[in-house]
Amino acid sequence: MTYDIQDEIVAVATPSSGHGARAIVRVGGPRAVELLANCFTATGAVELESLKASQRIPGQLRLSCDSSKPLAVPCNAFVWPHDRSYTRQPLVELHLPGAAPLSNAAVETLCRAGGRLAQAGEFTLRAFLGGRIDLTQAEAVLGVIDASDRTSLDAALAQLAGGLSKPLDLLRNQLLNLLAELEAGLDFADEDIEFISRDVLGTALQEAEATLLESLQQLTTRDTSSETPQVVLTGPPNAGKSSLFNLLVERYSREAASPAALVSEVAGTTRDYLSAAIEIDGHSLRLIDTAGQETLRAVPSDIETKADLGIAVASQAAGSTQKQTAALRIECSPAGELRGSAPRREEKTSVISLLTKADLAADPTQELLTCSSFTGAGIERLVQAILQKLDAGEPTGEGVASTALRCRVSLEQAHEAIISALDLCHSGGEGQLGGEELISAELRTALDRLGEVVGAVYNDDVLDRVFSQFCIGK
Amino acid sequence: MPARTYQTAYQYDVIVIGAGHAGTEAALASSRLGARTALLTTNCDTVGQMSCNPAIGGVGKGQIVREIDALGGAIGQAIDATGIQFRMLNRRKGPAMHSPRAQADKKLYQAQVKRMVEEQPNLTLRQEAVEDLLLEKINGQQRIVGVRVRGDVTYEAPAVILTTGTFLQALMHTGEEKTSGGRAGEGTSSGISGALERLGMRLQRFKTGTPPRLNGRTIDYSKTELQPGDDAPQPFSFLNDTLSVEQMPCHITYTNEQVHQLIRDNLSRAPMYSGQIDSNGPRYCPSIEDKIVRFADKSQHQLFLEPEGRNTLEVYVNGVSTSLPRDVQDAMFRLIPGLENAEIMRYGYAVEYDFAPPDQLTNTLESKLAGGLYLAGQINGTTGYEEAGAQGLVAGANAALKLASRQPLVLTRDQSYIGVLIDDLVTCGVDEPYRMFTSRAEYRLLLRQDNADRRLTPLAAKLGLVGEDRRLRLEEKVSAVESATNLLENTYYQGSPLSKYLRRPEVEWSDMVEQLPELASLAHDASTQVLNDVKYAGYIARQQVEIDRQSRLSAKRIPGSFDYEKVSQLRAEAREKLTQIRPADLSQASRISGVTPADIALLMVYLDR
Repeated sequence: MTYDIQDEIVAVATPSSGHGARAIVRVGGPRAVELLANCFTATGAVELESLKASQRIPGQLRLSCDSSKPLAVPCNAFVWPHDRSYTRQPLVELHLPGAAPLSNAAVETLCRAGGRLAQAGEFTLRAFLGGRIDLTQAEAVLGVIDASDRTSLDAALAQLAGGLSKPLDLLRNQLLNLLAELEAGLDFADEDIEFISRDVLGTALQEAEATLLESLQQLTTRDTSSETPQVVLTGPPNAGKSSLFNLLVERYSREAASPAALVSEVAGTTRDYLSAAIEIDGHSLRLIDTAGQETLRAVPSDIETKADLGIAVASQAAGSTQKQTAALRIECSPAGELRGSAPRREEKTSVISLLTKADLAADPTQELLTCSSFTGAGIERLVQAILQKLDAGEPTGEGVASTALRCRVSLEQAHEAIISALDLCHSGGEGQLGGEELISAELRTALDRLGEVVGAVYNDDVLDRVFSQFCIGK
Repeated sequence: MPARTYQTAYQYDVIVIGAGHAGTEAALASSRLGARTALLTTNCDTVGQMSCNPAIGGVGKGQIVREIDALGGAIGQAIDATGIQFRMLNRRKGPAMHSPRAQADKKLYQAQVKRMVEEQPNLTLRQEAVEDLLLEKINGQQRIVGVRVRGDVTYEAPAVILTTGTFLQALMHTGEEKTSGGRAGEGTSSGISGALERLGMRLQRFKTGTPPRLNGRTIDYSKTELQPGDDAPQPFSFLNDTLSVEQMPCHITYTNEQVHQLIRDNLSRAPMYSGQIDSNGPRYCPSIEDKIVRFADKSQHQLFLEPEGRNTLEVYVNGVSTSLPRDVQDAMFRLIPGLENAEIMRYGYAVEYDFAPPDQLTNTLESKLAGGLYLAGQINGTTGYEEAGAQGLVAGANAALKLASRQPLVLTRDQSYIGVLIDDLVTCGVDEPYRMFTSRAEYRLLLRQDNADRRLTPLAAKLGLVGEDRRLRLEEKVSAVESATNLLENTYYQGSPLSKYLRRPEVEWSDMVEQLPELASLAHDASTQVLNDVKYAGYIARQQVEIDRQSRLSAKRIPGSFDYEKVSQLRAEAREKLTQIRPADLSQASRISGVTPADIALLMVYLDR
């Protein structure tokens, strides 16, 4: 994965947390307009590719997704066909009805049309390189790039793929061994060793194909794009979490309070959590109170450590067995009871540090958010902070939905490469083209794509394997 | 080159130390580019000597030889003139894997290279033992000004190329016995190691080994397998159309359990296992004791009996490199079919030597510590005549180009194996002696032995590394390839162009000739090009996308003075690596292990500042 600025990049530009009136999906890059033309039908006679000036074009986006039937969605396309856009490259914004599943489908459609998912902060990087913003502005975003580069992918994978990354790791390892055997056969022509026979190769490729297909199916059923983001309250015993929970539910509930039972993954520890759907300024959230954490403290609690990573909690809400993300964690500490070091202001987009019980010991020197469930002071600011964090987190950070999509695209490409390798394996005879060097090229593509999901591939890996498996050399 | 006047005979533009495979190519390249060059060797009788196996080429290496030849180097012509057996390896694989290899008449090869050096205008070959490097500090920056040789004589030059092979602090081992020296019967050089250390260069040790040589009269070939050369040997040099040579066969025999047991019983006497040697050796060229320890389940190992020349009966036993004591070497052969009565002429030995980790060089092979000092060949931690020659040519050309204030010769990874080799060396360093494998090249389908001239000769012609004859030959070939390709694209068969039909795996060149009889007159090397280009077209187009991506990154140069400290958000590991390697551009930076895409994005921002 590189930040090549000649690629066409795609991202949802509005927070997916809200059910706002509209969602914006952005495509940038030299061929952004061409890409749009592949999946967009303008109302009226507009030649997209001959546009000269920026323009709003009403029309329909033809969604193309694996799972759904072809579907056309009415939307507006704002097209900058020239370099006067935010990124100084051709840019397209699709303004769609505000529903997360729809904007995710739009992103997927555009990726299939030749775009790729933008990395965190990538639009900003281009804006900087295009001279649109200054370094100070760019640096703020680059911090996000750095932080989200690996950890967020790991975290997102763990939550949505629980059980998926292991078989993929295994598969990558098997493919590397296979590649090593192929490469040994290519590079060590004079050895009296048959490194791998066509039959064995074919069988191994078939197994790889099946594993990839299975993983893809799992990934599809785990699509989390339609789910409501969760906001988790955490903190030491008696920090006032429940009071805060009750107050928020009272003020913002969308429904009659309907606590649902939640289950932690720690073996032997079934604990009940309270959760409630709330709505703030049109954004739906699920608020979770980690009551009972008092006892969990003794055992390393998986809900807490996972929440630290911004990871999922298992939810049985609505009979669903799907895993969900805690999009945001509110870490409560009672004001006036601070022991040891004071809680630091959290820079992470997925955490808000909050001083509760501010009515008991207000400390104006703290730069942390404070609130009191007793007086209601600070609640407005907390609510605004929640919205802000969710807004900031989604479009640049690696949301679960976009990670799911990224994984799916990568796995599909890996799958295609393995299919081609299988074709080559069956068609090419010894000495013919369609031989091992092409199968190896396909395997490398598959490994690169898998590497995007489970970790990088280095060339030396292959040589290491060759030398450890075979006695080579004169 | 600006005209210069010389006060004494000992002033040169370029001095090359060592006349092995790297040194001779370096001296030839710099003198061809107009630099007055001195090639200093401790012994004029060992110019171009094959210290180890009497062979050139092989998988990955054969492609390098073709590339050196395409750039005007000597190795291809030398082996064509003195080869005694030619084989195209990997013939049963696709054409990108075809790799030429030849057995050389070792003595003739050496004489041929010496002759090419002697005939080269602008080049002085002289027997001298270099004892020290002369450095000067100008404005806080070290630079080389010449060398001092035995007898306290000074050679001055603004560029010095070190190609000392295994001769720095060299120590040979045969069993418990240790001898100072870089090659059987020869000495070592310690002054240069000292000079490099004073300069602040890191030195490390590697080991390599060589097998025993036998007297062919005492071998019973009837108990071995015959390995003949190809019926129609293909020349290495693009200047030769065909080769007419009477070929000599090699023979194959095998080790067995008894041999393995004997070696196991004597392992404690092998320097590699007794602790006498602890430096790294190459994994792909293990000693016989290594093979037996690491692959205990293998009941036999292949041995190649390779003749060392037409005028000698000496035989090189490829596959049994060893540092076991003499008595074990003798006893071992008693147990091998065909070699029961074989007499050893030279015992095998292991050699330990100093090398300078190559991440201390820029991609022109110039030292980052001292301007004008270049290192090439085994001193950079590589093995192989081909790898050495390639580096020599690049260092020699760059020394001359820099003196003439011209653009350097930096080959890219999508252009040549030589580019892969040098980029790997200076970007990643080495942790075992570096040998080329085709799997190291990500664009292997492009880097074929058949198209090395098309890839590199135009560039060489522009620089002045090759003459008019070569340029014209290539032009002729290219125009033949292009017109044949056009013909295939514009002739329709069953409704689609012939070129599309040719893409099918089962369709061959002869099918094309059947459709278009005029293709029959196309020269073999031209038709090979057309065929391979068409067959690989789809894959090459795919690779081109990645190549373009990398070349956009390469276009982002990083100034030598760039201060990584000021990029405050770089992770410590990335900052440390980048500061050490000092990559020339973002593409090279992205290949440093431990540097992530996010680091590259950060650099993009700061470079744009």
